[in-house]
Amino acid sequence: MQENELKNILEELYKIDSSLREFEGPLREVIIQMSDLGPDTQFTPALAARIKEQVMNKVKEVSIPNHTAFSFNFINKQKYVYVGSALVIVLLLMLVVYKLPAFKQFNPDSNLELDLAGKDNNLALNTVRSDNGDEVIKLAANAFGSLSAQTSGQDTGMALAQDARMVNELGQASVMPVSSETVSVSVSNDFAITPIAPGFGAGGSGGMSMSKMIAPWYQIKYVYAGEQLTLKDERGEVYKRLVGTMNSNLISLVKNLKFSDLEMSSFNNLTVSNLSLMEDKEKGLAINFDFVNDNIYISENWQKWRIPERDACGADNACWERFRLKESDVPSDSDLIAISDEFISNHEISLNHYGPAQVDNNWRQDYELSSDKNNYYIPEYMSVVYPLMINEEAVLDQSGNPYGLRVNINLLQNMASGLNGLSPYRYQSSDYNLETDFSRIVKVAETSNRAGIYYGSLNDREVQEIKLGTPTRAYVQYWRYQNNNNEELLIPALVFPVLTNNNQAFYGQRSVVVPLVKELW
Amino acid sequence: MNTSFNVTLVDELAKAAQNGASDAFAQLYDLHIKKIYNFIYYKTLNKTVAEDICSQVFIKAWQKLSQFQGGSFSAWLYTIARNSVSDYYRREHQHLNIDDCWDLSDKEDFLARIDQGLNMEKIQETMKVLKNEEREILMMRFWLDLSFKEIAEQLEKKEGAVKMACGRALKNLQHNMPLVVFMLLPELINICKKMN
Repeated sequence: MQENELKNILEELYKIDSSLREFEGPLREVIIQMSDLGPDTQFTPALAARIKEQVMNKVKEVSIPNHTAFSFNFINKQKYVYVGSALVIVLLLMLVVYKLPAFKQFNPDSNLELDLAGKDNNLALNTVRSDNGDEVIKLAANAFGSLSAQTSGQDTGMALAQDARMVNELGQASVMPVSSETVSVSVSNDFAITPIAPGFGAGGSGGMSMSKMIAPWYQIKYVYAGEQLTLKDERGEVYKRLVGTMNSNLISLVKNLKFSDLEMSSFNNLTVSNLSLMEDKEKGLAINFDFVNDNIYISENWQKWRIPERDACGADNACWERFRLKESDVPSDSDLIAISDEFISNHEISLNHYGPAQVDNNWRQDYELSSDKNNYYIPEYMSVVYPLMINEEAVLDQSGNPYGLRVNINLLQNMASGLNGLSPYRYQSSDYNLETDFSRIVKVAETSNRAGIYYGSLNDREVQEIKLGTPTRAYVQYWRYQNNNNEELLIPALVFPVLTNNNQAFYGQRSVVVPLVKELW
Repeated sequence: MNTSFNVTLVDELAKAAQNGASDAFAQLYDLHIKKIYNFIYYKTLNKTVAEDICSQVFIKAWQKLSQFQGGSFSAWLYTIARNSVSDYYRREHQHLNIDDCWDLSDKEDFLARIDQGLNMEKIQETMKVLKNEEREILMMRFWLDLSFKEIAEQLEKKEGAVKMACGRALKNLQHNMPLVVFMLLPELINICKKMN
């Protein structure tokens, strides 16, 4: 410890407790020793990268319960007051109406309960059900109630647009032109092909340029430079994913299990919420069923995927370096897709509702921008995404990423080692009014820049003008918090691609997503 | 030493992450990983355990981002880390009600659970005499190199109170000085031999 630092610490302590001066000698010794005794934590960049990989893989699987979906600060405060007041009135009305006996007959949620219980569904206008259990139940208009009213208080501002970063990865064929009857929308090659910020875009891949994390500060101004569109669709379908439908008869098995220290029959009304199975073999997999949210995840049974030589590296950085991937080690997109397809085929997973496979290559943009490519951490896992399709349109998550079935490939083993996003295709749908005033939508897109896209120093702030191209239609996954549950809705939206970016190195957004449902405006 | 991050940057990244931007969260990870990992390591003294808890901390942070209501993101992360370490010890040692490895009263248990090669058994005797919070303040000040102001922020206390606690802890340690000196004696002898 430096003498100056030691003096500073002592002076700071004396200011609070002057009696400590009497013990200055021993105190100095204690501080020096305490400081020197700090154990070596064995922290290394390799360790950080390894933890990051685990964390970001999980982040990919778990969407944040969306209390701030479409929440940006570009609606003026007066609007907040109006919108907030209106919501209070709507909520009060709902409370009053709910008390009426007749209400339950028209309550979409009671309808859901009836349906899941296998009884007649009085409100279902039409149910499309296939032999394999896929179904879309068409309900009356506005059956899901207000799409935004039940979200948290801070959403009452109901901002509308969401910047998206990875829309460019969407298969172009899977993105439908807006109102194709009236206008030809170019789903062009320049669909948001924009470099991404260093440190950004690594997404879950863990591909972060450690050497260059802080970027200059600047402010974004979006300017629409696309075609003027005529939007004819005044109504559009919103989808709600049904959960709790993966029928599990496991409980009858479990109830009969005998445990020496536990009597299972002493418990009542048991249900199975999740189930984990492991393949007990080399390169075995773990299969996890989430019966609450109707999801299936497959991951590595990690004990069977260990690399003993690497596990033995300990704090030896040179040893870790030997296992570090180079850019040339990453297979081509076609090879990755072939590995993924084989995995899908081996496990007989149906791709009926998913679009063409695409590789999540965001790390490459970060890599290209890295000033120190030799030290760039190449992710050990790559993802191949099969975007969920609904109404022949691709679904994006709220960050603009293709949303759907994601197969993970372990590059060290050159094998697919898991997947997430596998859910039964069971939805309710209901028509909602859509915004058709294109100039209004453009205005929202142009004013949607948000906090979180500025980096670096507070000084030297400058405004960067960024052009947005002609939008395309897509569905956006949207979480609504209601009845103590998060409900997954798919909402029609326009996706504006980012066309120009003068300060390419430090801008992460590739597109701006504006939901079309008026409920959210 | 100035160890503080660009607070505005962290705030902006936290907001973006709350809006679902996983890449912003990745950047938050990069900014905090070393401090958080070290903090956990100082409370577990075991690399494997620290690594596991550390990944849980960041996963929990992502899952609970909607509950982060502003303020210091770092302090919020430290709180998750502290609670996760406590959870770990309460799960592993249900009969003990302890918060970190320094509370392990059985010396053999302590030695069995820390990394081999760490000569910490003597300092454990010393650290045990401190309250959990005093120990944490000393760790943060002398091992993590945080300023008193930063520690106050992480612990959501007044700076003066942190300094008070630090002074109290040092006084306490000073009474245990003979033990600390004893612990260092072999090293001092070695140094003297080399000098000769």
